[in-house]
Amino acid sequence: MITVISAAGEKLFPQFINQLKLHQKNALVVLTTRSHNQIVNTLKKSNVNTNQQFYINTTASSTEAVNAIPFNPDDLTGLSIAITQIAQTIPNPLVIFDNFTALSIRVPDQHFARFIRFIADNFQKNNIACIILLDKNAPPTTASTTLLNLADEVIRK
Amino acid sequence: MRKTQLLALTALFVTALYLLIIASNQSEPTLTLVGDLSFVIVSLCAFLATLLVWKKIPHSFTQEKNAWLLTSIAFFLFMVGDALWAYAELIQKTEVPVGGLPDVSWTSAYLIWIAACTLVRKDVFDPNPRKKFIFAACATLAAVWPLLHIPAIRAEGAYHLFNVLYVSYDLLLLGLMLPLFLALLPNINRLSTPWLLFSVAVGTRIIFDILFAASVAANTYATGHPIDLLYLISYIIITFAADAKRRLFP
Repeated sequence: MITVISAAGEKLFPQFINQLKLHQKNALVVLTTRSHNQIVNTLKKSNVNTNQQFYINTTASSTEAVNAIPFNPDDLTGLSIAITQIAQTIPNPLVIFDNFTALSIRVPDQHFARFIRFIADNFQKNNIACIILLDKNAPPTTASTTLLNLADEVIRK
Repeated sequence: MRKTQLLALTALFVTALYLLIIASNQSEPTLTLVGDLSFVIVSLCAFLATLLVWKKIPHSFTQEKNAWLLTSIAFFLFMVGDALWAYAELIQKTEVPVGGLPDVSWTSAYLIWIAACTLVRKDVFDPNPRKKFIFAACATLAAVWPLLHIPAIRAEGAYHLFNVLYVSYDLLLLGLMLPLFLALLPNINRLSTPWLLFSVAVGTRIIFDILFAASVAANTYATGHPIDLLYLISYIIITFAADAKRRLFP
């Protein structure tokens, strides 16, 4: 099941942190704007245990940790492999994308729309739940329209 | 210690032992015995390691689970081919003809492995599948074409077709693994390691199969030939690839 949370840019980070607090176990988090350390420090202040979450870090200057793996955000094939490989190791996985809009501006729109179709199909096939945060003020693109059309639920904040 | 890790280390140990023996003993019966036994043990390790990974993958990931099952069946057939070859050489004391039972077993293994790689490919986002397919087809032609012009192979015709076909299978496998390999190259970490190792193993197989086809055609091949080391190394890499995949699971 794919849930899209569409919010204004400045509200995306609080929404994202909220989701991480709600899903402390079995979450596979794809970071697109902030580093793993920043997220861990923010969550620590709220006494959230991140040990049972797994992070794919697509931000620059990231290092590999026990539960965090750096990944090149321009490489969507690699990202699709990484998500599937980690999701296999987590019971009832939930994939949470940080700011999907930030990821989408790094690759061509049509290319990213195909990626969305692919992962939506993949998540459905492999029983992976997913939460995607989208900037509602960003200009509409083929990718964002595809995402909103494929989502099972769209929550507008 | 993980079972897959134990299998990988066993394969490595057997190959080290093989190297030690062939370096110190050049008599043909010893080379045949050690070579044949090493092939069977190392291919058994590769088969068991891939089978253990298949067991570990959750049922909901049907496509990849099936791919690992097919991979383990392929390596079972590689092992059967190696065992049949060893049986003919060590028990029946006959030279194995090209196109015999071992070749049937290895060919089936290759075809099943190709099917497994196709399944894995379907599980991966590939923005340019057509380009990769054209590249794989051209690479296959480029590698096989010169082989068909080796005088000995030309003279023997279909007799050596099996050996030339192995190179084509390898290249087809590499063509299927190439998108994974290229996509994962800038992201070498514990998630990419299994697929990178698989690609390297296929690359090693390509070199082995080309050298094997050429040396069989030139009538210079016998078990224990230095090129056999590449064959063993490709199995070792597969076993380590399976272990790298198994290591991802808690």
